[in-house]
Amino acid sequence: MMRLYSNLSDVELVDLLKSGNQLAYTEIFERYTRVLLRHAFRLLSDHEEAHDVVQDVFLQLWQKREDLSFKTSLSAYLYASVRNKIFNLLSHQKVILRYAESISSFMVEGYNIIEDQIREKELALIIEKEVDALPPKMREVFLLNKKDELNYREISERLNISSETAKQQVYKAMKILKLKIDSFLSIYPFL
Amino acid sequence: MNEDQVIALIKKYNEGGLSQEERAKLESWYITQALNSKAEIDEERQEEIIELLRTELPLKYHRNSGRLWLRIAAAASVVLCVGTAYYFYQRIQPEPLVLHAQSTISPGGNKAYLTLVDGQKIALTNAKNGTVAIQPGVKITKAADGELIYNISDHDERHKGINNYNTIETPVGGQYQIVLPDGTKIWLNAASSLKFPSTFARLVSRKVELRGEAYFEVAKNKQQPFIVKTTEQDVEVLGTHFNINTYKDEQVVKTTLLEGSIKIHNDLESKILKPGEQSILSHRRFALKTVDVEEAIAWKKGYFYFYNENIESIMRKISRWYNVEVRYQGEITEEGFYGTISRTKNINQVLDVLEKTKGVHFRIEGRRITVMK
Repeated sequence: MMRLYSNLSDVELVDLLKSGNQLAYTEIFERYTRVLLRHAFRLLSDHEEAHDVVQDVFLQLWQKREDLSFKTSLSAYLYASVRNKIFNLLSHQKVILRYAESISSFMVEGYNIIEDQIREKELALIIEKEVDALPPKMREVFLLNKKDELNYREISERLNISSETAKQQVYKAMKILKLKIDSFLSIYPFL
Repeated sequence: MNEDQVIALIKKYNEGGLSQEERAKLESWYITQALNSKAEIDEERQEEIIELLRTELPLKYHRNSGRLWLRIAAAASVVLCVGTAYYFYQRIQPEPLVLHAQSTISPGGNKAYLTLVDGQKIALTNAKNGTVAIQPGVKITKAADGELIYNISDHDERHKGINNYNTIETPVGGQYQIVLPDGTKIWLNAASSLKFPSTFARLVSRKVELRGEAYFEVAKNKQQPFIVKTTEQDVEVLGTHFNINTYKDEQVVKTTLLEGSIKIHNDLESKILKPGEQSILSHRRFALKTVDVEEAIAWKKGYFYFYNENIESIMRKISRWYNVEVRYQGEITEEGFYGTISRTKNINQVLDVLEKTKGVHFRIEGRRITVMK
């Protein structure tokens, strides 16, 4: 019996990832790569840099899989990683020139400072806004799955998708996600 | 703050050396920046980047990786479901209707026969790595990855004629890979044949004739278009990757384009395909649709791929590869099956996996498979 990775919550995926499960790692990648990439591009306005940042984040996720521990959630961890990678990039001379003025005025004029916890939430909100750019059905499923920690079967009941619509959706989702063999079957549990 | 000070600030942030207030400010700047940015990644570039990331990260699927199929062969069964979630979430396993006989039916392998211009027939079977046979103008080598490659040299002095054809055919349960003298690679599926000129030199076009199913990676040559003739249609190529399924026992001829561009025509009409499109020829009319090309080339990669496929269609694929006769008894399920399974497994394993869906049961007697509800 194959495990259906897209059915798993982030928490379950992280547990599997810690034990070196590549399929869980792949599912995390497929689940988050788009929103992270869109977000990184929003800040950097540069395809190559956005690619480098997201690549670093996922490489690090794999390399440090055994020592992962989150105070919050996988998504918050990934968002913070992207932010840190971007700040790493910003410390390079050629990149900072684009932002120096903006940072400088922000620091000097002392805008209202956002509280720690709120900052984290705010960042999550901003990044998850990127979900809006996903195709509607994928978006719905992504949100239910993430926000409400529902698995796909519960989602299918919640959305009341008929099996015919679902097949259509699965097909489209497959096209978009271009999922390969291992995870191929993992999408259609919401039939 | 000047630029150097900003850089110093960021460096300090990266090292974790900022005061709480400064860190809060800098992160607040970041949030503001993200909120106000109008930079929107281009959809197409986004997908390209993701595709690139897929090849760079230690993910568990890699395109065109031979090892992937080995991994699949070692993986557990994969066909899980008949159409609806209802089946899927029923955990109770049915008792198999009939215990399978002890004998196992093995999958097909690299088997083919080559008929040369002079009528000489050579059996090409599995052999050691290196050169397997040398005929005048023909060299058969086995590559390290187990592919048998049939190289036809253009310098064959014996057959200078223009209409001299060789034919390579695979039996039921056989498949073969061929490299033509122009560098075109062809994967021939089971129960298929390909007829081709002994040399392309001095020909206006590179014309080959196909029966059954094959996948082509045609070498580019604008001077000599590559043409694949089948009984129902011709496909014209400049340089491209595509699959043609023209088995007689299928209702339609399917031509699937992966890369490049091809023109298909019969006596009524002609169509130009874009990558990702499939032409379906039925009653002498072509219909184009966008498909998941993975389905069309699964056989070449060494697995069966079913996407909402009915049992009759699945059994036709199985009978070609395992060389078995298929019969139906009683009412047969209308459900579509989903899943993938390696072609290197014995037939019992494939049938067991299909049975797990509870939509269908099998009886194996010798080389006859009976399909029941």
